[in-house]
Amino acid sequence: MNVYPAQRCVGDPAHLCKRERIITLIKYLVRRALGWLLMIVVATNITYFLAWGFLDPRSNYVGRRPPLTEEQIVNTLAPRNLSDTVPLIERWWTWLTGILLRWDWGVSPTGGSVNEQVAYRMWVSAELVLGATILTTVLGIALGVYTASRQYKLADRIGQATSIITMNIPIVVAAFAIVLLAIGLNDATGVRIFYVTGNASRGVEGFFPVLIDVLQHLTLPTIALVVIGYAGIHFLQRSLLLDNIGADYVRTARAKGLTKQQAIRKHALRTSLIPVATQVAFTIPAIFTGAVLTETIFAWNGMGKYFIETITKNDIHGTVAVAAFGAVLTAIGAILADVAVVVLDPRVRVS
Amino acid sequence: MTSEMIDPTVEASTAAPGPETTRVATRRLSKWTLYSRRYARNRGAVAGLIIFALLVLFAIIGPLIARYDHVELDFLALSTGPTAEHWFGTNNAGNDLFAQVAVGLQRSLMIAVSVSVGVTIVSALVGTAAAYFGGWTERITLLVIHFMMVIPSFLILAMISNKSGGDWRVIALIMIFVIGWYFPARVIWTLALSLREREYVSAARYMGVRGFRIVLRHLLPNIGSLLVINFTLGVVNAVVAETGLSFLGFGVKIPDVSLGALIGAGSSSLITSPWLFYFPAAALTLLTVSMALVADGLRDALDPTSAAGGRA
Amino acid sequence: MSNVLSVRDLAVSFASEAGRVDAVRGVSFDLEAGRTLGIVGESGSGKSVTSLAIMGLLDENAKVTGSIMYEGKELLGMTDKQLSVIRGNGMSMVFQDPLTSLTPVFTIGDQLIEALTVHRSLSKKDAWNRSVELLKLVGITEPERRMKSFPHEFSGGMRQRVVIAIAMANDPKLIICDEPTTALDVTIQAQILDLIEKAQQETGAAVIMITHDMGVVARTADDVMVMYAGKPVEQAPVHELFHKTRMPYSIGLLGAIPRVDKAEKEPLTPIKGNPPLLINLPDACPFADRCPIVMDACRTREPELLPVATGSGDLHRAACIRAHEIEDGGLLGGIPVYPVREVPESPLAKLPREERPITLEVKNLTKTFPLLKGAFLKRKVGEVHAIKGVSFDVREGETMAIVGESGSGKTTTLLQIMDMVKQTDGDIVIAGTSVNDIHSHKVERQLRRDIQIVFQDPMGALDPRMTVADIISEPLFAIGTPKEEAHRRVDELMDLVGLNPAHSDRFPQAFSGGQRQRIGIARALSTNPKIVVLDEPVSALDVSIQAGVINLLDELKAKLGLSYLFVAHDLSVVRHIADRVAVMYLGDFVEHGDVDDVFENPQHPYTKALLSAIPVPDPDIERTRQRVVFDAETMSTRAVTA
Repeated sequence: MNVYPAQRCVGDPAHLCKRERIITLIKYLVRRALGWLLMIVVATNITYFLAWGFLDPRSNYVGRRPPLTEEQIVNTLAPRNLSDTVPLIERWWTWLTGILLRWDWGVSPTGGSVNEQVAYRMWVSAELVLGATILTTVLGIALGVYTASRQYKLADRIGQATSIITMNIPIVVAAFAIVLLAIGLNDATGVRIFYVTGNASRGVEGFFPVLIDVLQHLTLPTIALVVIGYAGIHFLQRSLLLDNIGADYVRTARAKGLTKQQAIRKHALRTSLIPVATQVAFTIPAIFTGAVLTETIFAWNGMGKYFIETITKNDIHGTVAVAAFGAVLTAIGAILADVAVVVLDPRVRVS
Repeated sequence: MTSEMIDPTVEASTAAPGPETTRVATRRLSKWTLYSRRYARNRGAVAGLIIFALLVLFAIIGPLIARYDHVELDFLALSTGPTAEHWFGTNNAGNDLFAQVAVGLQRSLMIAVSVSVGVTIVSALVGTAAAYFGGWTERITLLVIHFMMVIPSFLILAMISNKSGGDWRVIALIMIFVIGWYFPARVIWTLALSLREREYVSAARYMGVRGFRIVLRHLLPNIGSLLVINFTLGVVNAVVAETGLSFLGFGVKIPDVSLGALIGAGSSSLITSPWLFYFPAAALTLLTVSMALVADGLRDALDPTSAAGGRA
Repeated sequence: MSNVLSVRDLAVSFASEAGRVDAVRGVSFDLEAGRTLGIVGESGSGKSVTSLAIMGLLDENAKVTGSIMYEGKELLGMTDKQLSVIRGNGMSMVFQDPLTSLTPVFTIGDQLIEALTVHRSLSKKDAWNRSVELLKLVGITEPERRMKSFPHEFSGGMRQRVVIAIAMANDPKLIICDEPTTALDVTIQAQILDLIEKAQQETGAAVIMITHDMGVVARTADDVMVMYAGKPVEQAPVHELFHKTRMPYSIGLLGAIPRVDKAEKEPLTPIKGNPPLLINLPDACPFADRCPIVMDACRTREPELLPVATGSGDLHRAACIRAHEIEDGGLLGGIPVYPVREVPESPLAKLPREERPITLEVKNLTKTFPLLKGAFLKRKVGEVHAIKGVSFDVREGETMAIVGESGSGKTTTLLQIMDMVKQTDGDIVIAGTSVNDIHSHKVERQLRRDIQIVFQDPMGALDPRMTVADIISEPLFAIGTPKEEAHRRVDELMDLVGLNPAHSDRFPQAFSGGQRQRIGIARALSTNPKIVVLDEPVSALDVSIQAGVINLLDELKAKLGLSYLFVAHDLSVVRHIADRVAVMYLGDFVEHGDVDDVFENPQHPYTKALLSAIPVPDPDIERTRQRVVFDAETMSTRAVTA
């Protein structure tokens, strides 16, 4: 990120300076967003070509009984812009103009609209990812702060041991372990407390029943994601806070008359939050990858599961849409990280 | 991040080891003794090393002492739990799970280690060269790295390995070059940047030493400890990535097995045949956790001043 | 007057990897209101640890014993909460590094207000007003606006003023200053010392001034305590200490300091060896291994700090069993305690300057840094003129020094020369070859044999992963010397700089700072250069070690006929070692000439102010000097009212 050390607003009273600063901040963010947009466009296009290199829509129609003729296959695929009898450049152009002019991301080899699928699945994934991110962050930061001020004592050691184990459990293992536990719990109590498949049940109405139903479905996958995710933030927050606790300015704060706890809470914590905020923003794409596996295991029809389906079904347009989605998430994460730094750290100002 | 370590038999001072409180050590303490002593003090790291060693042993010896070959089908024992015959039980096709886990562990290890070696080498060279040569080399390299971070690489990886037909060597190669090298390269670049500003690098330049020689002689050895730690962490990452891939069916394919594939195959019968989950999952978790403990121990032993406190 | 602070038998120890470290081993003193105690010592002497122990800011694993009585209350044994009531209120502290002492994410105003409100309940308005008042008091212009600034918007000197304002906020009775000026430029240093004096006058507080600079002690202290190896080895009023020194270490310390006001070149007295490790110290005098007048009795028991009669009637204590034998002027039985060294005479010195060959000539050297804007494609929006066209030459056997404060461009000048940057409107001629004539790497490498560099930081200049032999032979291999010859040369060079060639297979970490600097010098000499460039080579070293390296450089110059180009900010060192000096200010040479001329008869106001700011290690001279300050706008000096 190209930012320069803060320059003083020369001569002006403070409030005008603030307005000036906000304007430059917005200009900076817009510039960054455009930069990312460019990268996303390039990445999506490259994925398009790669997808054609490795996926074959024809395979959906191969081996049918009765077998289809070549003509029938081409007639099915061509209108969907998925026939390899058309030159690749032409196919690409049709696809690109479809997006730019009509925001139409194409159809799958079997005719389903990609836009429809994505529109529906986006929110399913968002439900999962958002909840997991917030809980991971809160838990990680809280643990980090708690253990840092009790360094080397029992609480810290237990926290570290637990975290290093949970951090390294593959999501697949964690998810299934939770499923087994939940089923055990369900059986033991005889009540279906937690649902292990799907993101919602059919036929549930009314505000509270729907809410409870959502929670019943949401709990397990969220727990899986949080359990393996919080430790990264925990360690980061802890080590940053420890570094800052030993810093000179904390010593100055104590020399002023603050107790050790007060100095840590007020001075060290605030400073250490800055890098943690950036790190959290960057974990958003990572959680998406984790969500891919989680959605598969818990049978949630989100973008993650779509990812797998599009590859197994050789759905070129779908695959590219997922790629674009992932790229957008990364961009959002990076921009949020930039915002966090500029807002929290007065040393950094954009010119 | 400084990788300078003061010999403890020589260092005395407390808050600020001043320049005059050391003297030439009368007995030279080898670096390696120092590292191993520091490592040994960390009980978790020692435990991790032992567990890892046992797992490797199991991966090597397991297939040799197994009663059944991992592709053999025992029609008389379909979906049975652990017995004296089949120590880990069987799956619904009759494969002996013990043999499968042993071979699967072997495969997962091979992929993970080779990927990590490749990633470490590539990222080290790219990162240090970009930092040292600066200018356009640096800018283009960074552009490529940031770009790779935008592409959803797991997707590309899944696509390509699906087509590759399950040959683990191809998968490993893709993992290195598609998803593996750019994040460590960025970390190394940051460290190498700070090293570039060190005076001994300028000194070498002023002595007339050639650029590439400086990179090899001065920069690379000083990031050595970071490379070792990156390597061990890379193994963990590679195991997790390959597991995910194989679980989804994109990675290693039958008849080749890996731990991820085993879990994937056993997932549909999770409740009826939980042993199909327990054993591969246990092996997998032990592998990743032990390696992570080793990485942690190495970080404390080699770089006690390092700020990072975990895989952040 | 009653004592503000009474310390008895203070001892601090830490656990470390190598054993228990006894950082402080028995400090006792009394301090009355309005008086200043100067605690002097080099690194590792325990002076900082003492101050942190008094404030209760040591790490939790530090064991503190003894007694610290502040205004009649015993501080040791108080909880953090109880101590925090006194800290910042009755006792306050000014720390060494102003760049890291303030929290970067809070405004100056917030931090000042916090210092006030943590001890008294003030309304927001009152706290604000008092803070503005404090900022005015410490000399910060436009205080209302500055209240909303962040620390990084201030220079080091200004930040230190803020720290002093915070220390003064609640009218403390005791102000502890731990090396408050070490990280600052000389002229700023003088201003900060003035400010601390002012603060003391305003509040009537007692001050503890911790420093390694004897000049600062001479200026500020009423009583002095010299610390060595965790213990005070001499305690006396300031005049006594400087003129009637009775402990060999203190004598050595005073003798090792180069003087900015003395014209004849007296050789500096280095103290051989290094301070001892503070682990498992034997019951002997800790200075015994380095003392020139050591006796067997010195090693049987550690000497106590006992009163010694000096004929003046003041209370003077020294920890030396031979203290009563030592006379004024550092003499024992008429002979100097430290053997006088021969000043090496170079045969070249007899030849007048103009007749000696030129080793380095610089004509109209310029350097501008562009100010760039833009994220990816940067465009130039302005320039910074770091060097504005300097010219000078260095003759064989001569030492040329460039002095200036930070930002003057002196280090940039050095680096430009070392980078052999082709000049558009000027030239750099090294041993007869112009850099504008370099058209191939081969020629450049040839030229690099003749000019080598020694860096400031002994730790950063040597690659920690290479052995000493590798380090010294690196330039030899770069010019293609065969292996055996290189090895022979390494041994030869180590001998030359005073190191044991048997240690050449060790790593830099095993050596002390002074020894590492010698390794750097050996490396620079390996290709037999004609001129050696030195970037502040002794500023990172302790005073007693510094003297040894300075003497070494003198010797080598005489023996090998070298020329030196020196960059330094410490004018006393420059006076001692240089033949010619140039004073640099904002990229220009404001004064340039023979060193005695410039120091005795400075012409430019900046030079006058610079010389005026340096504290002289003699309390009689220092306290009666008339000082001047440089005014950048009018480019003239004005007197400082004492």
